[in-house]
Amino acid sequence: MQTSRSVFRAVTPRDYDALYAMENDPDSMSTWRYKSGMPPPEEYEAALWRQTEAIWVVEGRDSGRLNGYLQLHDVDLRAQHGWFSLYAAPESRGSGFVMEGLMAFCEIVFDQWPLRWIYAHSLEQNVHAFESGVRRGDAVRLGVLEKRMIIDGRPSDVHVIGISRESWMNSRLRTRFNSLRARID
Amino acid sequence: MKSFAAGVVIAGPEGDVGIAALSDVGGSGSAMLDIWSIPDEHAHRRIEEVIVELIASAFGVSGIRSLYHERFEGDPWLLGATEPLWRTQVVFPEFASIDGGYETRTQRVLWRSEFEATFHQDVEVLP
Repeated sequence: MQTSRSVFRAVTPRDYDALYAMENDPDSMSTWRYKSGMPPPEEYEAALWRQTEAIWVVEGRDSGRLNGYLQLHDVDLRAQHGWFSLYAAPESRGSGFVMEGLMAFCEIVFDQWPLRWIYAHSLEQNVHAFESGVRRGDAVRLGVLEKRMIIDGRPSDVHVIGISRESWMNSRLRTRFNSLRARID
Repeated sequence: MKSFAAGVVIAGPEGDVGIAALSDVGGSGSAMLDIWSIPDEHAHRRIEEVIVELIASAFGVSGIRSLYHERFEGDPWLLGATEPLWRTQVVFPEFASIDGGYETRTQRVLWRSEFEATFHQDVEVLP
């Protein structure tokens, strides 16, 4: 899947070094996933795919650089929900590349998986990325786990964000995203 | 797979009635409290009778500042006298498919400071 500036594609083993560098960045190391610390490179592939169904990377169309990646994990097909994580490369934070990737992610996941909801944990310092989606009604803040994590020695809230199939399928954002993509294709 | 940091069997004169376990205990200063009861009203009441002591032990054994507890709509109420102190933090509407219908999942937190103030339990952190 492509947008005017990104290619959204399935991860390959050649991408692992770039993904590792993104996760090993000091600003993103204190994530929900690696509570006991970042695994060493030789154990990274197994850790990356633990409880994970699919991973897509967000690649710059012109630069070929990986700007981030999104991951679908902890899928419960009986309950029809799953969780997602998204990571931005340090130089791409605030650029919107990964949130553009999230639109592609929603389009693929809700098209190919029988899921009713996808959820994400977002640390206090990252949740601003979801705020416009929450304001528009494309995403829902299901709650806040107060002081759930210790980041840099200080308690940090963890926001729980949900995106429902129904809201994505009926979203004006989705319509706009797909019409812009159609011009490229 | 979930790993547990500590657990107890809750028993009365009639035998074992339930299990309580602590998990997700880490550097965050919080932990998850899970409680399972045999499906019997008498067992539920027995667990409610010991819940304050059980939670005091949970805080004491782990030295944490908050406990989390998850509950599905159809679960029995087992938190007894501590129930009013648990604050809802996250609500997942129609989260799980149980017995042919979807049930909402709620995550709640109990702060150690409020527990100690209410029950005057001086929680002693075990070495």
